[in-house]
Amino acid sequence: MEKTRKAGGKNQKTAYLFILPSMIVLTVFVFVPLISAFIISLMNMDLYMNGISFAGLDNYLKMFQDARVLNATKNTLVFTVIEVPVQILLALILTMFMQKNTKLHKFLRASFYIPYVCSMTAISILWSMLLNSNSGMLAYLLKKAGVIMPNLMSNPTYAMAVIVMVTVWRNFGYTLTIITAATLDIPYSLYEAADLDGATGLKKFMYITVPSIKQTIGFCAVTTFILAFQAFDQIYVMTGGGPQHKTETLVSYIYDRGFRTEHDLGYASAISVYLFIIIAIITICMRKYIGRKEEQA
Amino acid sequence: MKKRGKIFSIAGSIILCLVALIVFVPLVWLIVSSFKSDADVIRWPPAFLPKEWLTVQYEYVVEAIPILSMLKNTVVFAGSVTVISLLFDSLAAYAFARMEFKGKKVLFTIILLTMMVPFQIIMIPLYIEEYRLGILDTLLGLILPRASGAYGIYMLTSFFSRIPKSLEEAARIDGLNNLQIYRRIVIPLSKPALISLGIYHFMNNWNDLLYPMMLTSSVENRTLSAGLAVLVGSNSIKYGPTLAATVISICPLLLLFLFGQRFFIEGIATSGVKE
Amino acid sequence: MKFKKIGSILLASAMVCSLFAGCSKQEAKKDESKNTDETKLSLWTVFTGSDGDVLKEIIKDYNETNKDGITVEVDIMDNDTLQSKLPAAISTGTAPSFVLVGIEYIQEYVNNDSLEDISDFWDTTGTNEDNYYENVVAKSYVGDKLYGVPMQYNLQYLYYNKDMFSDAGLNPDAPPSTFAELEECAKALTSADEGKYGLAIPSDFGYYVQYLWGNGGDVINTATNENLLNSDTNVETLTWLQELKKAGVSPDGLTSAEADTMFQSGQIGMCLAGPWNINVLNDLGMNYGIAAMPSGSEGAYSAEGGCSYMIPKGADDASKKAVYKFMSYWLTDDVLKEWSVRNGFPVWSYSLLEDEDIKSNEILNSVSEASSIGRDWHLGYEYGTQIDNDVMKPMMENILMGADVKTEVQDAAGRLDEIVSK
Repeated sequence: MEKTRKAGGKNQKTAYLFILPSMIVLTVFVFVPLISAFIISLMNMDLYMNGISFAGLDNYLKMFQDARVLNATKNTLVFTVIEVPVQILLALILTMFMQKNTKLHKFLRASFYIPYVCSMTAISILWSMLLNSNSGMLAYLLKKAGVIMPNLMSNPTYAMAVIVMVTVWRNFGYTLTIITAATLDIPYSLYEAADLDGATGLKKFMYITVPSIKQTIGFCAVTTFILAFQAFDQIYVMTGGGPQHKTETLVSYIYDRGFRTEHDLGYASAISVYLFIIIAIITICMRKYIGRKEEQA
Repeated sequence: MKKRGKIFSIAGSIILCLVALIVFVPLVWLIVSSFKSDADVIRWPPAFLPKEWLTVQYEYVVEAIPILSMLKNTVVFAGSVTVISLLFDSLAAYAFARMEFKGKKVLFTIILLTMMVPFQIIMIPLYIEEYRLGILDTLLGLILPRASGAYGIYMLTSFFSRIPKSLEEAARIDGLNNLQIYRRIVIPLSKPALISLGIYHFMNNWNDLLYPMMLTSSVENRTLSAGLAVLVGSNSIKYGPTLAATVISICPLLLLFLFGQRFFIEGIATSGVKE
Repeated sequence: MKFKKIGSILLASAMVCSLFAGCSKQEAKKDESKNTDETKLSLWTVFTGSDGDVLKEIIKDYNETNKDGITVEVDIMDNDTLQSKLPAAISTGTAPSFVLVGIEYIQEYVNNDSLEDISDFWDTTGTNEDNYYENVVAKSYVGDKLYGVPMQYNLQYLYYNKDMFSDAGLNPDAPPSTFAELEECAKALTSADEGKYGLAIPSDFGYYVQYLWGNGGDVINTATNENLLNSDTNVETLTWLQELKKAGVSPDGLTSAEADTMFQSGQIGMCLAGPWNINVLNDLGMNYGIAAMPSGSEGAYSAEGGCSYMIPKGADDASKKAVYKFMSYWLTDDVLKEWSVRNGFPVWSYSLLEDEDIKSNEILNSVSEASSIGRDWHLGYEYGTQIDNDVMKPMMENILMGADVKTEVQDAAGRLDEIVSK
């Protein structure tokens, strides 16, 4: 710390040069379009961009009276609150059982990553076919066993659960890889000490592994959360937001309003700004919380 | 005490087996089913294995879309994005993780915020912007917007900051400057992170659908995933070709991943961060 | 020192970038120089299914045989992508030479000034407008201006599985022609033990209005925006449908894509669908028949649709002329015949009707017979898609799941009012 401060201005310049290329790319291709989206949200403007006029806060006012925005917000939260912990816990539990760097464990780690290699679209199609209650493999096997499977994707009770399941199925391998990579960096000496104390696998994991990889878990939590909040592909393919808008997330609704039904770019942008603000607030809180925990540790 | 350890490892084996089963069965089903005939795919009662092993679905896909040229595009697109963004992201991450400068926290937060922008939101402005810049419907137009990203910067920053300060201090005493430390110490030590991020970038761009669909207008600039999406109809889904197309789109990645996985593990073994 | 190195990295990466840029530009140039006396046309379309294969073949044929040096390059994408991309492309002048999309979009496009007026098409190309069904051609007009050239015409048919009919003791050559018979057949075909269903009643099916029409009901008067949904007739018809569903003739929570699949695999005896299934069913070697939508107390109606070629605003004269040439090629009997014979789409050209192959084609005959009852389901009505998505679909989902029909219809009518009053 001391050293960097003394180095002062010159060091600062170097730092700015280091971040310059990234900043240029992000400015041109993310910030500019994003600011445009914000400006559009203040306009009466449809996809055809004819007869554009200033709307002020009209789009935002309309948004707060739209029941589907509320519904989509609720769905997005439900999806995220279930999906993120399940994905991270699953990855943690599997890590706990795969700490030996044996061939089998390496093989399993690699295998669990395979679903993540496939696109969400492909995975969604695959699972739609498998879970189809009328022509799918699973329904047939269950029927043979005497269980009638309900139509999961068009059932308001199960549809969201299926979406969560499929998302976790595809993504947990990635979280697992990151967490495993972090655990392999934990010095053996820590475990050796615990072995002397006679600690079991679970205890070792809880008291040594987890605290040592806190930062990585925090990273996974934040990124998984951000991606979950933007869930779209799997919903688009599997349920199209239905049944009864029960699986419609904010991004699905934005897409629907902006590009499918009303083509109302202004309104869609207003919901986007709203979504952006929600994600930003939650992320900043999460990072603050994680940061404080780290300092305590 | 010993008993408990045993229970722990048995429970572990059971869970691992179960998860492995849940992961493998659908994948095997996917591959196996892509060798079924049209009638066989939708047959009731369904059967796991094809009645007859046929390659008709693959023949259909190969005939329907120019796979080779799309494959080339995808490799160029995903490959360039991976290389360029690894470079840009790691440079920025180095500054954020190992240097102090004014506005660091604010800038980092702002970069993080860009991760929260769903593509759907900026889709239309980006289209118009690319048109103004004259890079719409070119490979360059596909590559540039992805040349750096918040996810990569964030991930690498969190990895870089885990590298012990002592290594860096020793280097400074030897008279190395920041760029040298970045090149000779931080980058070699972060191989696993860089490789896994590289795989991540490569895969995401490989699999991306809406993005290349929006920003390319001609078949010759289209990527593989976007091209294969054409088979998934809105009026009539042809399940057979869809399965074959899915397998085709996964295969190159799978090979790359298996190759990368070896690298990945070796990378970890030789990283030497362990104290 | 440092700056130099960073600078060199930047420079290198910039060079890498410009290399790619250079490549793509050069390629583009090469293409142009090669085709100085040739015209390249780009076509965006949504034909993703098996009919898309036929379309591509016909275009390939055209590219190889036409003497005007015209090459049509097709770009197929899903409808959602095309609809979100086209407006942006038009406003930036990067739109394709022409598009091929559903006729329900014409009105919206014209409202937004997105299409070229092609009223001079018939005279310029010497194509005889009177040779084509008036109701088909009329759908490409807005006011008295022509904005599209019809490519196909379609409506909904009743598909039935002849083998299942025989197995259930029904006459495979006498498909139901009234709602009462439809109910009878559906129940006779259903056998829960064997996992066989009589009639597909999918929850996302967009054309339930056909049942309403049959009994004299409707959803909306598109001319006056009058809300016609909440009527006793409609409640009655929908209750009948709900009862039918409750009797177990259709699987729970079925989607229309699943319905097609289950019909193809012989699990469902009857389903309502457009002609795009014919190609698939023929390939599978199914023993099936096609009949007209059965009639209710007030007649039989089927929701019609179609696709037209349209030219986005801003096309230059040369490319417009070339597109005209292709469009008139499509309207020749040979091409229309190939399209109809291979895909089972109804014929809408008078001269083609006289063709011997067409006359002797069993499927096309039943299709043509079943095609005289087409009725406009808010094609080109500006709130059309929104009514489908926000009013009809949720209403039908609820009704099919057993909700009270009267309340559902009332709620739906309320939502409809909201949309229309905007």
